[in-house]
Amino acid sequence: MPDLGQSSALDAIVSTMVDGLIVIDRNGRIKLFNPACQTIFGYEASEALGQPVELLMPEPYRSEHSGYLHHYQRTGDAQIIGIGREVEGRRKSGEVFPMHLSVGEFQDGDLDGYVGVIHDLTEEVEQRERLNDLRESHIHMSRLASMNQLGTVIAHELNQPLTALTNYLSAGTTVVQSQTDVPKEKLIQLMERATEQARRAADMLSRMRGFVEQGKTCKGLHDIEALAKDALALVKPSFRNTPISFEMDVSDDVPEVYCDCIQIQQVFVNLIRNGCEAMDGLDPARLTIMIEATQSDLVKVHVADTGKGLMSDDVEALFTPFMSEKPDGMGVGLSISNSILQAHGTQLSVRENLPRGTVFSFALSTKE
Amino acid sequence: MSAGLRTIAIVDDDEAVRDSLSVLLDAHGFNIQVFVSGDAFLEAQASQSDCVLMDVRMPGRDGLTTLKDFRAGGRSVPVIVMSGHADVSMAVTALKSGAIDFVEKPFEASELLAAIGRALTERTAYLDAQNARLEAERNFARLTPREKEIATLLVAGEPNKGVARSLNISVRTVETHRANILSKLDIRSLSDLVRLMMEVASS
Repeated sequence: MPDLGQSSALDAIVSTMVDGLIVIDRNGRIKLFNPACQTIFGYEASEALGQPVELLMPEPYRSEHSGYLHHYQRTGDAQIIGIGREVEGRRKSGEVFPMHLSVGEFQDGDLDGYVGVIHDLTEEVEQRERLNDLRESHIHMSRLASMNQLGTVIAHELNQPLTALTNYLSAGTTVVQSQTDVPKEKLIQLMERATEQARRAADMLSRMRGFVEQGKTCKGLHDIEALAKDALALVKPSFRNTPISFEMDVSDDVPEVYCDCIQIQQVFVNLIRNGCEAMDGLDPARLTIMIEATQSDLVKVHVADTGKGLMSDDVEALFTPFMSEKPDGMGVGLSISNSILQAHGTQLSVRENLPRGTVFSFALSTKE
Repeated sequence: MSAGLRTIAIVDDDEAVRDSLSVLLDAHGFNIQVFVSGDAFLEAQASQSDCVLMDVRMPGRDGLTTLKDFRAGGRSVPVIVMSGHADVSMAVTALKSGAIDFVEKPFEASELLAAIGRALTERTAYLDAQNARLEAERNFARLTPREKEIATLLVAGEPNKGVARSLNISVRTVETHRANILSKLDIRSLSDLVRLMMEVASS
């Protein structure tokens, strides 16, 4: 392609482009390598020109590229040509980096080949990751804050299994001391019951620990009913002295959903607590968690209370941080819940519960 | 503790706590009644327990409210409050609500048994005093109006002569009445009479 770059105006444009511009021939040899490319990849034009374009690719693309090219030329089945997408590039230093690549095919008389425009995404991706980390730690902080409030109560709740455990063991001691012929079965029964209580205490602790642990991602397929039950177990002790009754209504054959289990549990904790607080001082009061499978890949979740209902119709304000309808509310719970759900590709919706109260709903997919 | 007082009522919403307490107290020879809530306990009016173990935190009617309502119903059975957070203010509230003692969960069996022992001892003393009062009342009721009048004056410190003068009867008659009073009440001295009259007055 001797003509390329001979027009001085075109040459000036190509040379000043911020994005990298590469032209390769039908065999994949580099024919044009603009200054931006030199900056991005670290090769001089003289080093790159005439080389196979695989030079700029990390494995496994490096080995597979010529195969792609031949496949396209034979079948016309385009993976990237005419389309743009995020791929990885390889600098001269060996560093692999994210970049956006769009490829066009050109043909002008005898001249033909492919034009690639390259945009280095290193900074964008870093920024995206920083934002993601910030979001994660924000969510984690809010989890710590709610555990701060729920934790005291749960710690007291631990006294129940510990009391029972101590009682069973003391009873065992007394029986052995006061009777000469203690039936084996009786002692075994006492020890089994004591063990069960120790396990109960351990479960409570591990639920708490799991909830506050940082950095533990548990993205995958999860049983949403189990997540809801765990969340309920965390919140319930705080409302033990109230007339609130708790109900779970789960339809048959609910499939597992793809989610971050701790974060979805956090959404449940927020919504359940919210609902209970909205029913403060009301009797009767009922909190219902409904989980329903649908025809599609979605599982719908509703958390309904029979509380005072929303004071305003301003749903947007409801999900805005630091706007609370409760006198001592932080206004963080719903906004965090909504941002968690947005990260899961869904969102929180709200409607009136009849005859009284509020229903918060969201849907999660069974697919990643 | 009195051999007759051996029935303990357990009021706790936690099944494991109820069951383990039953097993423990059964091993120590007590009879057990269990109640899952304050309401269930109050509804069981026939409940004839000698001591009650009551949890503070229960759904529905909490422990302290149950205790107040129990006392308001005129029941004097000693109640030991069990709490997961027996701080000072909690203890004061429990005692103000009519508890005889409180134990913090989780407690040692010996601690609980000691509290039950103290409660039953007090219960025994209370019942003994109540019996003495009832008997005094019964005996006092057997006196004639004239004898009651004379007994009252004697207890107030009047000598026989003073009683005779204020009732306008002879000292001899007063002496006869006095002997009858002591014999009817099955007591020997004026000081016994004073004690008995105080029992009656306090009921």
